[in-house]
Amino acid sequence: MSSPFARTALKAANLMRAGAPSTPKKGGGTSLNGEPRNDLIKKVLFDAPPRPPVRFSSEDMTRHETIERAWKLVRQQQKQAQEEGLAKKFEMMRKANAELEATSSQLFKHSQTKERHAVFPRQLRTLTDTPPKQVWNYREPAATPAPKA
Amino acid sequence: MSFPRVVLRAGRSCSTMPTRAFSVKSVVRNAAEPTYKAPALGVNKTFDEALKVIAEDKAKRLADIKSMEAALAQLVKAAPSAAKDTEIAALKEKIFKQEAYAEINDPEIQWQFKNNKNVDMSKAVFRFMKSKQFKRETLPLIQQRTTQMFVTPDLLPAFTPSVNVQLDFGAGSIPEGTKVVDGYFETGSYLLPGKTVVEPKVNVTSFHPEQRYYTVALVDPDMPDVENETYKQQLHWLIANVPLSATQTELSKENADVVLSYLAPHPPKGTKYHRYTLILAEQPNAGQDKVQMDASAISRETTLRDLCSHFKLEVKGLTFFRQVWDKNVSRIYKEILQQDEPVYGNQPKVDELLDETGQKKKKFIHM
Repeated sequence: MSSPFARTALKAANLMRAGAPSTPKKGGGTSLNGEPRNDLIKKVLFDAPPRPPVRFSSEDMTRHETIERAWKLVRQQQKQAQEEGLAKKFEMMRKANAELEATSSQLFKHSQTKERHAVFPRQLRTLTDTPPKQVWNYREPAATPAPKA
Repeated sequence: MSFPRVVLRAGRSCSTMPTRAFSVKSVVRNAAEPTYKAPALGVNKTFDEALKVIAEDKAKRLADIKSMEAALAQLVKAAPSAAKDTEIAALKEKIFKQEAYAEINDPEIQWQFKNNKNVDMSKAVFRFMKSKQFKRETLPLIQQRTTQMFVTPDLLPAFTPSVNVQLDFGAGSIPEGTKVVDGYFETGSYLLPGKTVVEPKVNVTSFHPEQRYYTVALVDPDMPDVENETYKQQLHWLIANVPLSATQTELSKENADVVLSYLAPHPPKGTKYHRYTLILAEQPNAGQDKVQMDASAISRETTLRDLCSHFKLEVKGLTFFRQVWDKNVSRIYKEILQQDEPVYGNQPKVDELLDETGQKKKKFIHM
């Protein structure tokens, strides 16, 4: 694959394979406890020559610009399609809500509001780091909540 | 990503492989071509696909334009109402934008605009591109110079020009070292009095396809008014009913009415620089009405604000240059104005610590 970082990565791999001892240490202060990793990093970053800039002829430049424009167009069309889809969905939802409002005001109010005083289930077991001594009581059946009328 | 995989790449790989270029530099190896040469097909597959995408988009937009034009025709026939005019204007604007976007991605159009070859201002796409270029490149400069030199609060209230005006006083009129934009001097440049004796060619870049009537005026707001201890305006040139459009860019006196003939700029000695401002004002009813300027009612002392409010003109374009006294101004006073040349200076400084005889004023009286 033609990734822009392939070249740098290739260089890094080659350098790492070659190993540090072949070249003398620079400055000496970078390798801590005899570790050559910082020297290697510096070598990869600064000693590897930079990539040369891509040079285009005027014909290629025209092609490049046309491709960029066409790609922008495609992205624009995709975004437009997405926006249209969302707008349609919103419109359907709005119509449904309007119909519900006209049908029953109580149902409509219930659909538009959330319970304000809702709280997490207080019967939940407190979470702990380690499991309890008795994980499950196999003798007694589990307490089921009373069915709501 | 597969790590150490040796990739063999040719030197100039741009043509054979569509690389994601992060730094693309265009090297113009040969001089600019006289005509557009379409890039060869089959070299870059992505380019061929791009052309297909652009062609499809163009077809879609042209179909959209047809339906919008049909809707416009219907709207024009419909009963008049308050919202009708704004709706028509909005629809026309939409059609204009679609016409522009349909062709803007064509590489030939882009090449033509970049090289300024066959730029036909009757086409919507070129008007659109030119207006964008004006807003991006020329307008900030005009605004900056106008506000920096206080042309707008002094002559007119602050406004945003929507039309580009440029003056050309002939060959050799632009002094050495002046910045030149498109062959015309930059707004606010200094010009020599000897070179502005003849009337300039006025080039107007407007973006409306239909013809509109404009009023052109050259004003000097920096003439000293000694009695009132202030400055007064002087109208150097006034032409009404100038027909201009996107395709009609030059001011021609034959089709217009010259109310005040061109008077050469003559900044007197002792004054600071004068800002000779040329304004382009659209006439009422969106430039469709002709204006009758009575030569007896208008003099060279009429201020611009009075002129605009009286004839209901809306200023759309502005440019100015600066001038300072020169020996040629003396010649202009002698030959053209046939007046004695005034020389201005500061009042003599009065030392408050001395009395009339020139002696130091006594602080205390001898009792």
